[in-house]
Amino acid sequence: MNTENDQQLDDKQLSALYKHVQHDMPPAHLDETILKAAKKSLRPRPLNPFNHSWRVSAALAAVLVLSVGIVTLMDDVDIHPASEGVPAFIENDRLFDQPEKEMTSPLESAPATISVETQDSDIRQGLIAEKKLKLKQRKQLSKRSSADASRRLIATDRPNIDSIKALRLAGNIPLANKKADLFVRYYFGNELNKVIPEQVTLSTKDWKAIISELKELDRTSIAIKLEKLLMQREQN
Amino acid sequence: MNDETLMLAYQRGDSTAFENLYSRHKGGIYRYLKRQCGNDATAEELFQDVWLKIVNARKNYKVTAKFTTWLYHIAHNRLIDHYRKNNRLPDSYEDDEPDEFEDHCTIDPVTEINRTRQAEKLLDCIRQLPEAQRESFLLKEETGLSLIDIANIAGTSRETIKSRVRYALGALRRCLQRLS
Repeated sequence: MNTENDQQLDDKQLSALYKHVQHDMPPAHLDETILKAAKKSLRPRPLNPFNHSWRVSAALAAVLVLSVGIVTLMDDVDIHPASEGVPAFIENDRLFDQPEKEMTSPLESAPATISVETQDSDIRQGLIAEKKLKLKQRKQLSKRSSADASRRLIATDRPNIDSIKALRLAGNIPLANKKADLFVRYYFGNELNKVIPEQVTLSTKDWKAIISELKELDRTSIAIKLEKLLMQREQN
Repeated sequence: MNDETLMLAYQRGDSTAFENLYSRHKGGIYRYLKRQCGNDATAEELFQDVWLKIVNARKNYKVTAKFTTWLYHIAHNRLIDHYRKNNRLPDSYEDDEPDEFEDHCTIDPVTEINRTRQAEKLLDCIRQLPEAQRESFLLKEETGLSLIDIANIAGTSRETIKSRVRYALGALRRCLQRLS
């Protein structure tokens, strides 16, 4: 039925006439483009190693850098003395091996006598301070060129008594001595006969600790001068 | 070898099969698009898009319908996209049931001498048809498919296509008579 109806729509004359205008064809360049695309799609796509592996490599590199960074950071942030590599017995030995003369010196009889507990606390604080200082210095170093940063570090290095103690405990005596000298020069100047602003911020306890350290470091003459300065300050 | 077999051969990697398919259908598709667009440059762009879609669909091709129906359906959709992109989807596509008309016109038998001239007049008349009727006529003449297949291509009902073809034939006859 449908076919019969469809046939009613056939106009043979029109169809015949239309066949006369069925000669339009796409231009040759289109034929070329399409056939080339058809052939190209059949070719197996070459694996671009960079396309895939660079992502993997980049990810691995990122993970590696991140891991190293975290491990380094954890190592720096770890403040427990045992993790520093200083055996606990050395620390204790140091505490109990204080020279007796030190304990009996006139300065030690002052109210601010350093007890074992206080020393232990000071050592821990010293280690913490030393760690924080190192971390800060490393951050500064990473921002500048290493040579320039090293120079700046020496120039701005502000030694403190706790870091000197920590260095001594760690067995780095030469550096501890060097820092002790810097410390004295920093707070008291070269001649030890004039008051400089930094002295004002120094507590009696620190003064005494410095004197004690200097004595231990065989810098007796300087230690005596400092004792005099301390007495002058207390009188004032 | 039929179209579907050729397409399957191309799917398996036979580029010659595609060349045969292309050769069979390039003229019909090109004329369909050119006469619907009325612009050579646009027709060429759409033509290329249609064939590249066929190429890209190679891997997923399955024989669910006649290849011709599938091919012209892609072309029809690309044409509609083109109309929509230019905000000019012809009203004739919305009018599913064109008004019926009395058609008593017949074309005078043409001699071979003036057939070419008459064919050129026919092209003018085709250009004057509303897009939807023109499309139905062109699909019928270029593909030789049944009304139901043409309806599948155009995404409409068989009855609508029947009306459009009837309307187109009547309009073309009257137009040719007027120009003669």
